[in-house]
Amino acid sequence: MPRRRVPRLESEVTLPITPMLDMAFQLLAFFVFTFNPSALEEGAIDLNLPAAGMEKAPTIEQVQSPDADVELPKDVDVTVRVRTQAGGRGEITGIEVEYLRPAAKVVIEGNDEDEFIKNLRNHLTEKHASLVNKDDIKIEAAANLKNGRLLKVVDACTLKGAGFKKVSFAPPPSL
Amino acid sequence: MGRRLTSEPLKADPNLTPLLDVVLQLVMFFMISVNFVAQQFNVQDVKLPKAQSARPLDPAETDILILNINSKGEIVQLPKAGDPNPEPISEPADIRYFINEQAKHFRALAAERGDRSGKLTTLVIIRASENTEYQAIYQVLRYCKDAGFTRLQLRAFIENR
Repeated sequence: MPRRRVPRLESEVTLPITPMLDMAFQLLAFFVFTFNPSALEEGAIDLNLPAAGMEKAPTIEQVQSPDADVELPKDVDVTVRVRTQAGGRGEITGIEVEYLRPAAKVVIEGNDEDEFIKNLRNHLTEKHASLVNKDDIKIEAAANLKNGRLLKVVDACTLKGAGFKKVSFAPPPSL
Repeated sequence: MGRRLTSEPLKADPNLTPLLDVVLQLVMFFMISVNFVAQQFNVQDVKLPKAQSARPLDPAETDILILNINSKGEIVQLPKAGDPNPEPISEPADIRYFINEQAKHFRALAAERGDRSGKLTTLVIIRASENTEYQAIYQVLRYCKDAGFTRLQLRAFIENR
């Protein structure tokens, strides 16, 4: 009872939590909407440029580099030719592997796309050890081959597949 | 109880502090897990293919030119300050012109940095849609080479299998 008589100063400081909560909800909503748990990480595949003068020269002897100080790329031993059905949706209908030293052509057997890729991978893996240039491989695809399928062929040729390090692209036969 | 009803109104303030704690925790979680880097150069109609041979990116690379190619083989430009919605470049002649202009621009930048060799060391990053045809990609590669670019990279999502 005596306590009541003492005059007390009511100076209670309250932190206004509601605006802070509002803001926190705004932030939460923003991050929830931008959240993408299945986001795939973007990666890079290094390419070799198409060799100088390659498109126009009809024979290898006529190929000339426009700049003398440009280091000409090493001979690529293996060329993978990917065929598709003309006018189709760009499915792989045939794969042929051409070797430079010694000159040879191998047709990859297969019934569907996955089988072609699998057989190509097995074939290249087998041959890889006996090649002079183990780093470079050239891919010549039909004009309407889709990028997604092209990369499957690249996968079969490179580190996760046969073990080639650099891929270069040759002009499609129709060009 | 009867006394309270007559003297002062019943106050029922919810305690917001634990709620705020939880919300801030969630904000932190989503903030940390968000990844803007990959979306930096993303444009709407380019859906990258997946590849196992794709390697992680090198963030130190700054001298870069991004070429987004959509499924029709057109170059999609990134939005710019004066042009938020640039038209895609579809004609081969225009694509060639565009790449040549970019080459000029990057040569000028290199000269500003004091590089007098005239060589283009800019990394050209080709982000082609998974439905882009080989012909379109090859054309862009060739134009890049003709324009003097020496380093090229193809982008894909890293597929782990």
